[in-house]
Amino acid sequence: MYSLKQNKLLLLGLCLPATLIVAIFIIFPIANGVYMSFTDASPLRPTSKFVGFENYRYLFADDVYWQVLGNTIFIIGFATILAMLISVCLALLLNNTIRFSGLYRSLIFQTWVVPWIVIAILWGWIFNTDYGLVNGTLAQYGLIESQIDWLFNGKYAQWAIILCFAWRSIPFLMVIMLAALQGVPGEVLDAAEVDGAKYWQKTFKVTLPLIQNISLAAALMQAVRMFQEMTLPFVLTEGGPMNATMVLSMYSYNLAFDSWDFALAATVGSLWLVMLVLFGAIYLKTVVREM
Amino acid sequence: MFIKNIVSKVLVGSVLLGQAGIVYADNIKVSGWHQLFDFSKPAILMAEKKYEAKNAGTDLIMVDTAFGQALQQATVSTIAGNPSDVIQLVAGWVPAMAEIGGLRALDNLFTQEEINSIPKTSRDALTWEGELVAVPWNPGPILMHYNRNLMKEAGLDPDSPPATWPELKEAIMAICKLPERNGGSVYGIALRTSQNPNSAQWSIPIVYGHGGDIQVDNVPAVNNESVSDALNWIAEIVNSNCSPVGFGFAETRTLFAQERAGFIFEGPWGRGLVKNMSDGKLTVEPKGDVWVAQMPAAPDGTVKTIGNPIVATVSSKSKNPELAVDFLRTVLFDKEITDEFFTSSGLLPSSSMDILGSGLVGADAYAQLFVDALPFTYDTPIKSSKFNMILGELAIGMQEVISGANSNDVLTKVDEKIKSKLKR
Repeated sequence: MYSLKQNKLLLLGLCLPATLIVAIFIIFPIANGVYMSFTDASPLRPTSKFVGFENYRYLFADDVYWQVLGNTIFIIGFATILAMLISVCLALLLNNTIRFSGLYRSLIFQTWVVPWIVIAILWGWIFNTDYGLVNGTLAQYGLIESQIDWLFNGKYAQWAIILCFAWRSIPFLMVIMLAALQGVPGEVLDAAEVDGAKYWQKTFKVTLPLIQNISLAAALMQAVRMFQEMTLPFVLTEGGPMNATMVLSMYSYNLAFDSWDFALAATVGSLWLVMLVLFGAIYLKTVVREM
Repeated sequence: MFIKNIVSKVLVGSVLLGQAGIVYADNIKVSGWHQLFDFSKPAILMAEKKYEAKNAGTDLIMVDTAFGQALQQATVSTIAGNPSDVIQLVAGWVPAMAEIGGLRALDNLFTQEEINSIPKTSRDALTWEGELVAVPWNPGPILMHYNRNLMKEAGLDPDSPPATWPELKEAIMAICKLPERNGGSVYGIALRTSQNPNSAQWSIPIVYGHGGDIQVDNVPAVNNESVSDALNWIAEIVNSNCSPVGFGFAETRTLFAQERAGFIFEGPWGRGLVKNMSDGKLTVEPKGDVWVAQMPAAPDGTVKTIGNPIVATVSSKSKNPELAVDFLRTVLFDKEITDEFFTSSGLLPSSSMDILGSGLVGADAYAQLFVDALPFTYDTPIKSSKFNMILGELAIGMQEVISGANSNDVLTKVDEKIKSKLKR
């Protein structure tokens, strides 16, 4: 039987294009970023020099960095949890044979194809102090006496960003979970029913445990995606008020292009990379179960 | 055989194109955002035609660059060694581009007469280490626009707009007592207070109005009494609900166009914005709905403002700086083009005082108020390559003062942060 292993040249030739692409577009930028974090790289200097851990020391002593890190974890953590909860509910609902479930699925998925910038503008209007849907509705039912500045109060602004992130993530998570639900073997559910399990018992004791790994992996992917995203805070609050909604992605962007401090921006990126890798490893090790 | 065929076809094609004169001897790339807008496109197209007719064999290539990405693109392309020949910027970005060595000195590329026609304050602002590295394309002094209807309604005389900062504050407080309209409250003034460098930039005329500055000998110095007074002035107005909180440029403009703010600080683009955003309902005329006045005077009687002009630069890496400058010469000094630019965009079309004082611009009362302001307009109120960083820190400080923090404590902290980042 012919095996590719016998023709080492062909094997190399087949692997080379993909390896080159990964090396040039993924490994090199990461390695270069990590290297830059040990230099004083800035476009304002003709050359850069090695500075050891100086950038890391600077960053650890900077209270804004810790604030931004805290904001990022808070915003993305809650947005992911919220998105997961709503997505599971929607997926369970649409997995049942309710009327027009196909239409609902398509409608919910529309949110996924809307660009981030459009969502940011849309939510900006929803939270607008004067004309926003939120203030309008609350005022209509007499729940508030004066308009609330949702995007200028630090705590409210963080929750506004959490809601936007969650809203944008729901369709993706819902589709993944719907696919996972449809993969749950009917025989297992039938067996539970024969044993006398009711709908909620079947859901909590059989269905959800069976789709747990897929859902948790999807949540991780979505959280990582949100870590990279800066459009929402950039457009909605510009990181304010007083850095309350400043997240790591926007912080490193500002360091690079407002302070022209490529080295410090690369340091933020490197720490963020290490943090995500560690988090991902621990998460997969502890939360995702062996089947 | 196949390859041979293709090679021969390419060779023949090249020869024919060369014969037909389609292969250009030179090309000049111009990057910017003017060509992206319908209101400035006609003048740019006219300039392109005239320029190519004047410089036969030169192809002018317009590189569309969104305003928000212009500085990053200019920087990255300069570092990568492939910038456009002519780069459109705003004045505040010039120090950063100059410090990375991205801009070419223009002193010897323009004639002395051409350079002298540009106001001295504008030239000084765009001079870096003794060399003129940019020229204002569309000067942009920031002046006080006011709603005459709201002033009348509040019992103020719209023909005598506030001339000092205390007078302005009184007028703001009076207008802000007016009843709600167009779905919301009426504010005395629409100040920018979002967490954006631009909001801090717009607070600099208020610092000037309190008798101070935010730099000393070209070194940023934000921790002083005038900046503190200016931030407290802003905070008092915002906390009296006489200016919205956390608004940026877009929201403040909407508010003003809805007749829900008595005053706003804007450049010569203000007239077009008010007309467009109010769907033509508001007129910008001396006796119309909205008019413009010089900024109020500081306690010592001096009037000073900032400018936010669109400037044109030539890249230090341009292989044809003479040809590049000739494009600037065309757009800045050709009467037909500047008239077209002014007619279609309403912006001041040139930095040449000869152009600004004659023809269509010279006959326009609104434009002339801005031209009058040019001698006391500071286009680079902080001459630093880290302009955005400094103003970004100040914007956060401004928000903290609005939220009730002590201005002196805030400014001490802001000053430390700025110094620490400038050292890096």
